[in-house]
Amino acid sequence: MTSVSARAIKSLLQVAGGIAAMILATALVGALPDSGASAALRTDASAASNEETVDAGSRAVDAEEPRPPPRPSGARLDDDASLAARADPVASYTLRAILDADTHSVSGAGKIVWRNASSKPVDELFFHLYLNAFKNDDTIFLRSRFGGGRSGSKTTQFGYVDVKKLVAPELDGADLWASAERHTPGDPNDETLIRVPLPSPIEPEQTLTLEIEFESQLPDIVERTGFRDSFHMVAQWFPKIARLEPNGKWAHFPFHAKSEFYADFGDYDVTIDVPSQMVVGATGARVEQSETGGRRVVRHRIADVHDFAWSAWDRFVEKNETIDGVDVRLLHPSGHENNAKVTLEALRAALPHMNRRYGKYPYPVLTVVHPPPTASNAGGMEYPTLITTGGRWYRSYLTRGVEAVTVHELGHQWFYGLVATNEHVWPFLDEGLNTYAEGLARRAKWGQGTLIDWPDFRVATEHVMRAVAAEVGHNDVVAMPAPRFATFSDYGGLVYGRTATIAQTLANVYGEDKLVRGLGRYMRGHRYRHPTPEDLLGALEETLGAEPVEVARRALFERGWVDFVAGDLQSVRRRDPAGVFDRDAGRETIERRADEPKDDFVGRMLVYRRGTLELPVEIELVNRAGERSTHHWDGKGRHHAVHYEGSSPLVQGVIDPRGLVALDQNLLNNAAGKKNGTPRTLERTTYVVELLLGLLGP
Amino acid sequence: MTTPLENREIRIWRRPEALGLVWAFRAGAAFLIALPIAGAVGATGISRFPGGDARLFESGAMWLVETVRIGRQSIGSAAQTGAFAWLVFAVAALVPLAALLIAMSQRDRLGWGQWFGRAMAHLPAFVLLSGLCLVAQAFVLGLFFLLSTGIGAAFSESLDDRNLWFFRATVGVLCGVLAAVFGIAHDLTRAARVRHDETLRRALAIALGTLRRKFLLSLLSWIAPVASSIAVVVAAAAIVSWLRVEQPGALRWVGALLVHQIAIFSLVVFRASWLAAALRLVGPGATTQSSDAA
Repeated sequence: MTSVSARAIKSLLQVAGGIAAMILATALVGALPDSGASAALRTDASAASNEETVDAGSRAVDAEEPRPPPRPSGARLDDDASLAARADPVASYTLRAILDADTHSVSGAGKIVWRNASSKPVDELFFHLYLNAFKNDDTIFLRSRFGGGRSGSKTTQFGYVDVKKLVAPELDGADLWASAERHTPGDPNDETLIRVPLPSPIEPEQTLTLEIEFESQLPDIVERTGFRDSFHMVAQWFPKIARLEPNGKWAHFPFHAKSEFYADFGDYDVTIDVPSQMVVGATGARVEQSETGGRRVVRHRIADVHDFAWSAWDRFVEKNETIDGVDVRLLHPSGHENNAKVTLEALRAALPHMNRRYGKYPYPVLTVVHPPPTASNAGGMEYPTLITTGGRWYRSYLTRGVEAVTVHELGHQWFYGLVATNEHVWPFLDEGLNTYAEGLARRAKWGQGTLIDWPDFRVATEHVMRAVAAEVGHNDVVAMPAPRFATFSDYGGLVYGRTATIAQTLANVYGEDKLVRGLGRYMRGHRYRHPTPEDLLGALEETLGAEPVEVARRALFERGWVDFVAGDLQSVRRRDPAGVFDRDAGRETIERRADEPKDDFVGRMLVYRRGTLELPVEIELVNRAGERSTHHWDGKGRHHAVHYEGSSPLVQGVIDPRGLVALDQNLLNNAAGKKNGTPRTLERTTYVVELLLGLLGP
Repeated sequence: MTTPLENREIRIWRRPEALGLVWAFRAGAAFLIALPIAGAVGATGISRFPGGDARLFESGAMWLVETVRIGRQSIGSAAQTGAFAWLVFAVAALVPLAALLIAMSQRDRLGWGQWFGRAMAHLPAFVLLSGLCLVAQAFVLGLFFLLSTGIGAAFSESLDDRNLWFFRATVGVLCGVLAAVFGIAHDLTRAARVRHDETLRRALAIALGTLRRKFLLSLLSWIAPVASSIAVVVAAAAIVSWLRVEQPGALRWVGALLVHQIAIFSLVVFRASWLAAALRLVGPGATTQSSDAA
């Protein structure tokens, strides 16, 4: 989710203030929310109960029984030969949705076929009614400090979903909704998680059919769902059954502002009924379309997915192209032709790139929705076979922001879509790994200009990510449930930035090929599954080895950090020993030689490793003659002396001169020796100020 | 009292040191502002790396981003001080400007002391004029924001994102032209004051009269040097890009320094050419006609 680069830059701008604004102004998107004093007081008052409820949900998942060892993967998963062909369907939905474009509501009806895929009988169901997060000011989502969600802007019109009917024919037609608890367990003010007791247990592998009717009132666009004028982004719009883990425990949670989703795979067959002037983009392939009585009816079907979203607008411009065997349908506002062009260009590069590394995209279609700028909160989100991008019409002329969002959301087709990790509990598994994968794909296409690609000025997203991650690196652990992060800055910096930086460091230090191969095995081996961090680490261990994985584990789970610091740098002329020596044979006095060589020096550079991560590192020594020598340190221990012998004195020493250890907390304390000044900075700054003086002055 | 020149005698190279003075003032002021900022950048530790701050210009901006992150407080503090100094120097720069106008519009070669004294005498009027011009231009900016918001509210349904932007941009250009006209009037007033040694009110009347009668000529005389200045800045950027200062070696950044200072000097010359034109526009004829009009 999210236009990650923009958020990353926003965080960097927070820390860098006005200076960075000069450098990265064009990539700036909006300002962080300021909830105001009264809202702050209000949220403070409710914070305790809020966190308690949220944590209860997280604990239910955390308290899983010990998991079996990671699923073996092995070299057979280095290609697609043994890739799973289909998902094991657990929750399948057949729905009909009728959009009232005037009231911005959706009438829904249909059936859900659910199978108990766990090892234990269950006597209750849990439903996520995500849209109820926007029902009133007291929901967990809206009453939190982060009630505006990632965008920071709260909805101006409330949204909700009313369940009208929930009947189970196989349970004697029992009206399940009548006995449902109408609020989130433990939180009477929130209705995003509903427990539905069953009159009789459902045995393992037994199937249950549920007939359902509901009315969804869309909110004014917020958190990637809702409406703005005639544009509708219809996401998280239907009652969605929670995932039952194999151990028989429900992985359920209320909808928190920082959290995303988790669901079982299944087949979706959705018929959408909209005013005839509307163009519809939806998850899955369009299999039927008709138009009668001023209404357009489209039917979309897709198998092996775990969510369904759609968008309808009367002003979409449509582009179609087949990319690497996938029918791509791009819907964008008029005037955004260049955004559309670069979106397709990004997909042409990234889709084959990701197919090769993480297993072929299995669906025949991909729909890309570029929402209108007035509905920018709908942008930067992923759903199975449907992604949203975003930005003003000129964005793609200034930065690679559109490409960044496109590739990021495309990456989610793998890191969320096909490998459906629990986004609520382990957000780093989808957002973090995807940020790394996205960066890799974009770097392959655009080199160092992945964020800003102007003549003579290129900024790579990964470096901004690294900086953002370094800022929040000590604040909390990376691998933890989304609601537990103290702020969105922590969430963004740690989940997106820090995870990507950890992966980048492992790739730089131990080999990108090994890391990507390990990631590929994890992705292929767990396609259509719901892996955990241990599954990831297990796969990485196969290709990287135990030591790098231990580094990753510490960095992810224990706030592991590292800061290499350059210490003392010195060298002296080598001299033969002189002086008075009492030897066995008697006292010996050796005079200093007058003809000692003047071009024989010895010296050392002291290198400190602060922090808990042991990473091997290069050290470069430079002598007065300009000769450079590279030395290696395995990073064990707290300090290390690099010895030098050469024909001229040492002048400078640099740890990690290529900046491979992206996790290094401070890259600028890596050098020791003489100062070279900053003549280029002085020259360039003088020139800029001269131009500015010309603007205001005469 | 020196003898005023005829229009045909007004030339920018009449006293070359005047051009040098404007350039030197600007370069010196900018250097003084930049020095603490560069010092703060160096204090982050980047200057200890081989090649020094060459890394800051590397593609990808890894070191630039890290330097901003680590040194944001000290660099920010230096930049804030620099911004204040920039305002002070912008006011002080009116003195060399007045000196330039005097040099171009007087036949006799004044001694340095007398020249400086004359320039200083114009400072209060020039400061007041600059203030008035800034207020007028700020008003235009406010008008633009008002119109822009109104356009957004009125046409967001009927125009797409891009066309709405172009509509706003068109209004922006018109407002820009209006702001430029204020700037032109500003320069004409300064020229009239220096050329005729008139009171501010009288100089303003001459300038506005000139603008009314010779609007197109004034605009064209202003546009040509402005366009040339933009072209020079773009060309300098291209040349410096080609020099690749991110690579080690002092020659590259020294080359960049030369290119940039040549560019700035060219800007000063273009500016002087417009001011010379302004002096001609407010020549004796303008005074007579303004008197007639009054």
